Amino acid sequence: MGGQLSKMMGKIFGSKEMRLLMLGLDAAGKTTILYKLKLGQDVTTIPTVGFNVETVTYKNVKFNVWDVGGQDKIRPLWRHYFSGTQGLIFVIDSSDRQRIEEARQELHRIINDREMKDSLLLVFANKQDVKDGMSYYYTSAGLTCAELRSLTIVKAMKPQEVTEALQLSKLKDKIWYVVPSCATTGEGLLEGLAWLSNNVKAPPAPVKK
Amino acid sequence: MEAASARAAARDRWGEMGYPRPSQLQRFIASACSPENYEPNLALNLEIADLINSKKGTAPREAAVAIVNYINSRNPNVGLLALSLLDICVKNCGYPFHLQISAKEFLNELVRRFPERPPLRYTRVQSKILEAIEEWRSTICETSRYKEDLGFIRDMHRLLSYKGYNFPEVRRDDVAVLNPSDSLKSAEEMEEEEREAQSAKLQELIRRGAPEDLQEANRLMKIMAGYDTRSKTDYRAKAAEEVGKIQAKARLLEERLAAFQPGDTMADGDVFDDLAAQLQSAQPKIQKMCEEESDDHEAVAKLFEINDSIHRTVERWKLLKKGDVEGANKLAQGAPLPTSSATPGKSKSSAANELSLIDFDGDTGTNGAGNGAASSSQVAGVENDLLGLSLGETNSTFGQGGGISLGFGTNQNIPGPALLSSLTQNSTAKGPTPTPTPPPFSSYSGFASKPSTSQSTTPQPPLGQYSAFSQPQKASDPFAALSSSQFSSKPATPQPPAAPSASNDDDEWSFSSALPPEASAPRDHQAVVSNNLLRINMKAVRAPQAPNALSLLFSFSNTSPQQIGDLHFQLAVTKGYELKLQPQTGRTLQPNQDNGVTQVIQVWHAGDATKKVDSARLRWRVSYKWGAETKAETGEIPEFSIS
Repeated sequence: MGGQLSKMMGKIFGSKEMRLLMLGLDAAGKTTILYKLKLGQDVTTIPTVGFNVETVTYKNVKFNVWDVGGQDKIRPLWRHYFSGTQGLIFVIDSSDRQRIEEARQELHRIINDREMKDSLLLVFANKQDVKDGMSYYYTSAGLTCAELRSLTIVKAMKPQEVTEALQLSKLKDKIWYVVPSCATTGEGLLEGLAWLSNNVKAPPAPVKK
Repeated sequence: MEAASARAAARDRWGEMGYPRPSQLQRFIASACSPENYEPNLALNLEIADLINSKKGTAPREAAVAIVNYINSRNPNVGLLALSLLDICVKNCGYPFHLQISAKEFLNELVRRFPERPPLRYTRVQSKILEAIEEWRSTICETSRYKEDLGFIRDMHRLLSYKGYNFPEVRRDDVAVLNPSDSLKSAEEMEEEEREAQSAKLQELIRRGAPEDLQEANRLMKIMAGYDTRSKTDYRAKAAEEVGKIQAKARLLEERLAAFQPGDTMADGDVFDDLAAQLQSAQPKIQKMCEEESDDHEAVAKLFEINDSIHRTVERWKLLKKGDVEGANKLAQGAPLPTSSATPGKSKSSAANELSLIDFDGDTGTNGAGNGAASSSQVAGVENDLLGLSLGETNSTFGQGGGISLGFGTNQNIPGPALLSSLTQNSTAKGPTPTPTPPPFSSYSGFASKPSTSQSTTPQPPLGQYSAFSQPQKASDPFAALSSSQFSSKPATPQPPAAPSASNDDDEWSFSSALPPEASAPRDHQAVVSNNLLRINMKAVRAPQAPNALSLLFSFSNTSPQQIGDLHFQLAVTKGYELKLQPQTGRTLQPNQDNGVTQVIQVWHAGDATKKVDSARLRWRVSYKWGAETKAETGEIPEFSIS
């Protein structure tokens, strides 16, 4: 009851609360984005086994951001976090062309879930600073920097490319937006949050108690 | 109906402006609890339960919240309808729903209309609620695997008792469905069940969102994603345990049938009926487990055995139940034990089956004796299969030379010492059966033995030198515990073999006298036995304290950058010789570790320590874990000799 009341007050006085779920393949930069938003600094992260949740306030909106690990073993557990999510932040590694198809499959699997049908979709085309293909894929394949340079230079994908690769135009009844971002510098992150808060539906779907 | 749900929505005290259109589940619940029903709509209630089960996720919570709202309706009929729906859901939706009804908010809401002091007379709704809480406390709170998650139900029960509320008696049989079923579950089913429960719990923890819940959720995720394996249950072991329980039941029925007198009758629903029904229901499960375990031949063989014997027991029960034809038959024959000859044809065939079973367990004893030399090569074949070593060359003489005929109880009609327990244990259990007809074998007695005692099933002396190959870890296979075999729990210590008859030593392997004079033989011999991920070096020398034996020093090195674990080295020597194995110095090799594990093995003349061993030819087999992979290699060490 009390929570209900404060929500009412919140409505009257204009402070909003929004539950965001941040997903994406492993090493896309989700945790780095979360702590850049929360602490304003670039932190060194380790692969997330489990999840992190932080509250970020921006422009009078309280964002509850859930960042769930992206390793393939954890992906089946993502669905437990869907309930009540108002905005999905899908983070991709724009320099990792090899796995963009995998990212597309995961994204479509998420947004086809019944629980996610009302949520907004924000795509962070992350790692825009990576210009010469130092992608996760290559480094994980054990190649050295020299070997990488001898390969075709892979430039980070631009938002337009990401849109096509993820087949976002196919989505019906979905409000989506692609923002180029760089988690380490913070570029694009606040723009994404602003878009989310502007597009969230006026009465947030009340989560019944 | 629409009007009813509209009224329901109006009553909903959380109803807000702009509340989204009710979901399918909510609409179903609304119509199930609509006062237009004169009695609970069982079909719809079950449909709702199905819907909850199929949607999972937030559905159990959604339903619980909706139902408790109706329970508190001002219209007592609606409340009763909702309570009967709640009952159906609790009984059909399993742990995910139990977790919801044990939530504090739910329970508080459930008793919201209870006055502070108990009224003189409870309303119908109140007494139903009390009954439900009593029911839950006496079932799921006691017997559920996850009862620690359901603590608030007990707390609520205590609180209400403290306030003076009396709980009605519940009939145990009515609520038995809430207890976990004791039907046989395979490893996969148990794993699935556990996953389901974890899933529901994670969902609930995330929803609650309190810091300690989130911590718990993180921990649970690690377990679910397989990063935290500490608390992982060994489902195969559990499945084996379950099969063990079924065996116990089969044994019980077997015993009851044995005690069954011709004059006795079986009634429907008696203990025979009950046991047989349980056994029959277990059979398809065992068959399914056979499929699931198809990569573990030993387990499958054992499961098949168990299935066969259960089948036979059930058949016997059926015949006995049918009545007296067989009984008369048996009386005419004058057999003292009704069990053995309930149906003469039947028991004969079952004896034949037993024989084939025993082939598996203690093959050497029965087969070798029964058929003599004719079957000896076949025996050796089985033996080779079991050991995984091909000692093909010795086949022709193995049957006799291995001393199979030395085994006890070779003739099944002679009750021997309990070495062949699968044969004789039942005869000792039922007293000596000196009748010429084959005694009623109880194949369960063989399965009953735990790994620690499993040696008794195997006729050991003749197998001495081979069983030295098996190491204790073989017994850790959960299914190994179901039945004992040569592989189980035999430490790698030297085993004095029964001395084979000397004449058999003169086989093709003992032509070492044809070698060049001793002087030309080297003092020692070194060889690289294998050089893969695991490098095995061998050095053969004469140890001063055992000059007649060949002392072999095997050293194991890891040539890979990954750790090698569970190293298990086995060695076989040609006939006429025996091996004395010192234990391996370890089982793990660090990355690139040189000679991290060593093992000393001596080769002696079998049964004659005074004869000098000049040369030897060996076969070896090694298995180890490399990362997650289990690798196995075999090979032969060509003949060498040292002075």
